[in-house]
Amino acid sequence: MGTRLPHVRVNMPSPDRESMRSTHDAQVAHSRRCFLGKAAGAGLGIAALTTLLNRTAGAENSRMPTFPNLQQRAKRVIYLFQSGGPPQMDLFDFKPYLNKVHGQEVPESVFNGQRLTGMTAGQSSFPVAKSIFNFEQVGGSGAWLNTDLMPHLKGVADELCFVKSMHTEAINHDPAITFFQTGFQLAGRPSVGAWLSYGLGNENDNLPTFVAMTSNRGGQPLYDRLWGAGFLPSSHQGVLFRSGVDPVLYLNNPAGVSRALRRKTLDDIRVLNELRYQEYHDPEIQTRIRQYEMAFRMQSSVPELTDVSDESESTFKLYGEEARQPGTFAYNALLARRLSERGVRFVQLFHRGWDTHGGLAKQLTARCQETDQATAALIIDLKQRGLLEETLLVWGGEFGRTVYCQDRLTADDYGRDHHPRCFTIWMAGGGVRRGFSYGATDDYGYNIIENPVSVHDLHATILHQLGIDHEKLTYKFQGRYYRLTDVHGNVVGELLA
Amino acid sequence: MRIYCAICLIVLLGGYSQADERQLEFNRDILPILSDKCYHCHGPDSATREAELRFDVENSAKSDRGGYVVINPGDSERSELVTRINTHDLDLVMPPDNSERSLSAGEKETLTRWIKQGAKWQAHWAFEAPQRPALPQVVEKSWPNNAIDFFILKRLEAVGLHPSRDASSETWLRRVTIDLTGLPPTLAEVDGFLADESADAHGRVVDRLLASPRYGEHMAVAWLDAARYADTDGYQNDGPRTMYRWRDWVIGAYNANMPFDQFTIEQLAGDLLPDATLEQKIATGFNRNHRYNSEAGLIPEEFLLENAVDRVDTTSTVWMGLTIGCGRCHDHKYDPLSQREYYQLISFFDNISESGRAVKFGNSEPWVIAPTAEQHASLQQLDAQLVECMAKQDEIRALCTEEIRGLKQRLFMSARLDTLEDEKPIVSRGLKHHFLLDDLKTEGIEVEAGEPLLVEGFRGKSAQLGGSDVFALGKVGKVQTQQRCSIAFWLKPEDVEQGVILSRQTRRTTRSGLAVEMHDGHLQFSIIERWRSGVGSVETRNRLKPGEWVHTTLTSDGSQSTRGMDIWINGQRAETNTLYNTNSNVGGTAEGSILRLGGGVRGQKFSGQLDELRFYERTLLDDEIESIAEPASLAEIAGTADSNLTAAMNRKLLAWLLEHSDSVSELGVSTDRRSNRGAALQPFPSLVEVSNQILDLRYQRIALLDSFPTSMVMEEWPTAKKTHVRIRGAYDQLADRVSSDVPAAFPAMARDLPANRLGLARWLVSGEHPLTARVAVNRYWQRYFGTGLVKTAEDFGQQGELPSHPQLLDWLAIEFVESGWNIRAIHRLIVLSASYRQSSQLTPELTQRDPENRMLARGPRQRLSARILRDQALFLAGLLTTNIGGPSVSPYQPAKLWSEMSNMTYKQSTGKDLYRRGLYTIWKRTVAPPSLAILDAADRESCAVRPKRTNTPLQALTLLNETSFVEAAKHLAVRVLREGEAAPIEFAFRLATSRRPTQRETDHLIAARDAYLRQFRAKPERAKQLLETGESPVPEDSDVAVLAATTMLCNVLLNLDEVLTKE
Repeated sequence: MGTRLPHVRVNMPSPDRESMRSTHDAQVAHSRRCFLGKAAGAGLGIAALTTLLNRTAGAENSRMPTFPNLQQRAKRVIYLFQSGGPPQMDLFDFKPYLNKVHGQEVPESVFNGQRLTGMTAGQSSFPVAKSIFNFEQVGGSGAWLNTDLMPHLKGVADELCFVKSMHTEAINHDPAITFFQTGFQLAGRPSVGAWLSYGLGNENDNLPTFVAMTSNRGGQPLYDRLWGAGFLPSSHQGVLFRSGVDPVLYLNNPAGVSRALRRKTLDDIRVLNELRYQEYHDPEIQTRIRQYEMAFRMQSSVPELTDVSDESESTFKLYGEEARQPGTFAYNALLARRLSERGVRFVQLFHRGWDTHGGLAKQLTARCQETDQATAALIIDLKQRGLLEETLLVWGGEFGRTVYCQDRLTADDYGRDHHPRCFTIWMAGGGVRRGFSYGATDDYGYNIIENPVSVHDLHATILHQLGIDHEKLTYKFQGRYYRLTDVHGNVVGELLA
Repeated sequence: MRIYCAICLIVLLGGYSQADERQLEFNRDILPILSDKCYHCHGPDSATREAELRFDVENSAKSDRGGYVVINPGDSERSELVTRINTHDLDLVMPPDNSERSLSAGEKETLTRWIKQGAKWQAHWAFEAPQRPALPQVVEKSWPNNAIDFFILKRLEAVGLHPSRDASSETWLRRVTIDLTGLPPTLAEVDGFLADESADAHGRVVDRLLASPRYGEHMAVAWLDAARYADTDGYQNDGPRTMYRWRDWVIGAYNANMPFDQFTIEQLAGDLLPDATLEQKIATGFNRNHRYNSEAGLIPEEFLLENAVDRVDTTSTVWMGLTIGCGRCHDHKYDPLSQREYYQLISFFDNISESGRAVKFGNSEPWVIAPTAEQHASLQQLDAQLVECMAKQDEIRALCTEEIRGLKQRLFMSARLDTLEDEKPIVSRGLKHHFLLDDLKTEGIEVEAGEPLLVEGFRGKSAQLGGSDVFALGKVGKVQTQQRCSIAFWLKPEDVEQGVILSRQTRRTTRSGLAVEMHDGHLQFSIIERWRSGVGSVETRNRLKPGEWVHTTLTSDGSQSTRGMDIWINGQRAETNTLYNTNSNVGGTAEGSILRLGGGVRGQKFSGQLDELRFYERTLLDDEIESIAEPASLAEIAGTADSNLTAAMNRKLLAWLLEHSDSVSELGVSTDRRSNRGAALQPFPSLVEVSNQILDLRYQRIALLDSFPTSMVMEEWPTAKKTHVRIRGAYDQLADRVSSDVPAAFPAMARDLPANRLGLARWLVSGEHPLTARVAVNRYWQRYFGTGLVKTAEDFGQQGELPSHPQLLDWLAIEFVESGWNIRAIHRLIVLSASYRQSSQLTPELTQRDPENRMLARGPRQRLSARILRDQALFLAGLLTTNIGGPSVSPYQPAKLWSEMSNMTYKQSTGKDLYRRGLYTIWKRTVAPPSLAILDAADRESCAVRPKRTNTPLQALTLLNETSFVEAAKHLAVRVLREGEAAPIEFAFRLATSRRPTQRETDHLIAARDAYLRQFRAKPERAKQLLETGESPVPEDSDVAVLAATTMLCNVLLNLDEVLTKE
């Protein structure tokens, strides 16, 4: 089997009635179907093609143009999600003024009546906690960086494009992370990667379009929906790559079943399914045959991908020895590069444990030790391989943290609560400006004073770099044309190279 | 070619052969264009409406607008609409050039032609009450089996198509058995049906299936998807909850064929029915199944709104097929629903006693203790025993009067009378700490602040706290807030305005622990996990008076809710008010925090006296509290003349005597009694015995109640909460206050209906509502044919699809109502139709003309759902456990899946629980059971009424390799080798497909099995490995190579498209 389908970009005819309301649309749609019927051989079904290829956009939507519909600056995304909410003023958003007001109450003029979480709203005191870490201006760009904790990132600082004026609407983890992943605070909408799979499809026949990986147990939980397909067909959902023997669920044959025996059984299934097809003519049967073949191919392509023993020693020097060990951030970062090399559209790493309500010094140090080297390595590695320009890297969490101390403020430790009003993320590669910093916060690092960037703006910008007008990528559900950016979002042009 | 294609599409879509000059119909042809392209600015939403022009209101679109008319019926030339949609002027063109809503040439032409034809308007079909249509005239009169078929056939005949031949008997039987029970037929059932030549053979099969308990289970699955039923809370922590009693209620309702109107009323408002039964209360769990957040930092008001929003959205989708969520932030863009009306609906659903924050582990308020019938019986048994014992106690007590009098006399004579009460306190069961506050040294009490004193007090000495003094009682063991506990003490406040009487809290800002305070005369009792987001706090309604001794008991039942917290003053339960009820069951006080008297880590210190402090790790019973609250000391009582004893004094005396009956001998007074031992009548020892037995039974009763499942329910708040319109949907942006009412686009609620959920439920099933019955029968139709008559089962609004067979939909809706909302009868009707009996074979013509099978010229053909696939495999293998209901189970799942992503660990079930039907598999919303999720099971995060069905490589991997499926193949192999006699392969094939294989299929399968066998013969260790899959062993006498080869053959069979498909 394994008949390659014609590698052409085709706009899928929609099975939905709304696409056929006019004669003109119907003609177009149907002529495409006739063409496809011919080109794809024995009556491949609509659902079949969509799910098999994930290669084309707009199958379900008449309003959608073919994507990319803008100049494509990046072909894929690697999103390094730092779950829990990293403290911006302890990493990137240097606030020397805090040293002066350390221990003093945050003035009411700074709070300005904004809501606090239920965790600290009952506190009787809100003392400023300065950062106890050392900051330096690094690289040609002179970006401020906590060089105590991020010595490796220091080396690639000139590749980074900081947004210090991110803000979000949610104040608690679940709604906040769901908002970042899906553009909406409540469950039910497709994740960014699913939108890209739907809009752009895949560049690889043997691997999923959208891969998610997690590292660091403990910390705030993660949820299936963060890489889910929401209301999109479930074939667009991210495939979770795990660290055990089955990197993809159920990838391995049962114990005692060799690859040869599996091959033989698949041949037998195919023969019998084809007999059935000859009688029933249902294109779904053909699709099923193809999916079983793809499954078989994944049984070799995935282990080949996840086995990093073919990497050179210099790779492990770059990423760190931890990169040999599945389940670590370093391993996942290395895998992200391997997936990108193979054309996987959207790779998202989730590193847990940034929720530093108390004991910040210790926790933050640990998180940075787990991630700093491999993060810098990924940038260097992609660059060396000529992939950085076409791969958009995004680093960030779901919100920032408060300047005031949660719980006890001591000489060498403090905690910080959730802070949606401002925080820092950075991007690299993928046609964004290098060595650039955008937006600014006040002296307390509490409010944005310049160039706010919303989550919708970030989404619009990411889609833009992938050649997608975020207002055009839509899907009709429950009578409404939905988009990742809802009814909001502006591309932040200043961030683009 | 292209022209041909275009024509056949027009034929397909319109169902008319004359494409060009047909009469356009507003609902079918015009409304979809207006709604999709124009309503955004000229529709129901007043906030975005432009130029005061509405296309959802006929008058607005046709009125004279000062010299011109937008739609001028019959005159397209003088219709502004036609001008504006055709103009090339970018400033004038409509829809605006940049609006993403531009019209196609075809759409422009359609609008123009419709105006020429007279621009006839129609109301939205779904908002008009259905009328029962007459059966259409058809040509092929012999084809229909029942009314349904006339409508189906009529449409086929109109476009020149013919129904397909009947499916084979085996195919129909497998189809209908799976459709009605979720499991395939047994071979005996296949043979029985093949042999049954009677005219009503089909009908009898259907009746048998509808009567099967499997029917209720199978029906429940789709309802559970719609009701977003799950075993966890769904947000962040995603802790466990227990709602299986609700799930089992649904199964029971279907199996009892509860009429749909009752099914509706009990789920939406069972609690409001007169004398609501436990089952009717459990039914209201429908609207508690939504996700519920327990994050520590959340703001309760925000999630009170989210919860109500979910209830309104789900109820609207399930009963009215309306997606009205838009109304939360603004007037609906497409349907006649204003934002105000949305909040009128919210008002039906936001008036319940919930806190806004879920507890982290377990059910959140409001809930009921929900014993099963069996559990209820054991409670009744216990209660009967208790009644019996109490009668016996009364009887014996009467006989004991003299003996007790004697004991009291002896007690009075005791030399230790004054200290006896402290030495041997009453109510000593579960008494963990007992501070008499008589001697600091012996009691290990330290002075932490000020100069607190021990002064002569209530009894012996007591603690004197002067407003700046604190005693530290040390670390007196862990107090878990989610465990039962009681604290009792004597109290004489001097200053009742402010002061921390007693506390055990951490110094952290979370303040976790417990605190007892005076505040403005009220006594406050707080259990704190995290200030202020995890607090249970109550206070007495009455004020205490300064300078008076009162006995105080505080009890908590560990339910993490203020309804489980009580304050007892002088032995009586005090009326309390709730101050905070946001508790969350994580904490308890940390081991390290210290119990303090007179102050705490914060707050003003207390001034007054305290005496005899008791700590219990259980909840005291009311009469125990009364006993310890009796102010007269044992010595005083013993010294009081019998005739002067009050009832309470008598109770306390008896309590002491009963609890310390053995001490009576130490008083040197029982030698004479000892000689009586063994005699037939020993009244006092019998009284002790029966009294202890009663106490045991009462504690057993509490333990039994604690062991019962609870179920979250709807329960009205006594006084109506105020519901406000929220500006842009934000919880804290209040606009006008509204009261409960239904949207004006629908028939009004009858005057005699109450303006609450019960009224709303009765309104929905009054039979007058245009949507309820249509929406329900459409979902039933979808079960059988894969797609509803209205494809958008979730949306019957103006953006939804038009029905493929509008008259059939209305006919079925009326039939449903007139049958008394008889669910089984509707299912019976559908599956006995000729339409349902058709073969599902496609032909090139049908593939071309109707690829989605909307016209139903053939039978349904769909991949089986996730749960059916697993159930089928287990059933064929003879592994399926068939008991109904009970707690959810945890079948095989790849290791560490939960722990990698969450704070919960998956505990796999064992034995029979590994093989329960899929609807009993535990559903953790944020980490769903992977094999079910991969096969498109609904995610249960929000209401889902239209199943997804995809076809992916991950599904192939699951079906080939997942443990349950491989283990099922193994046992299917055991079974076919045992029962298949001379032809095991044919037997296996027949089990899996219900039909006999063709010769070609048989030949291929035999060759395949032989090939597998050769491989396993060569590597027998691999055969052994394969047969170790799953926890159930294979028979010891098996030929492992043969069994392994047959297992692989069964693995192949369970992966055949035909087996995965409802054919």
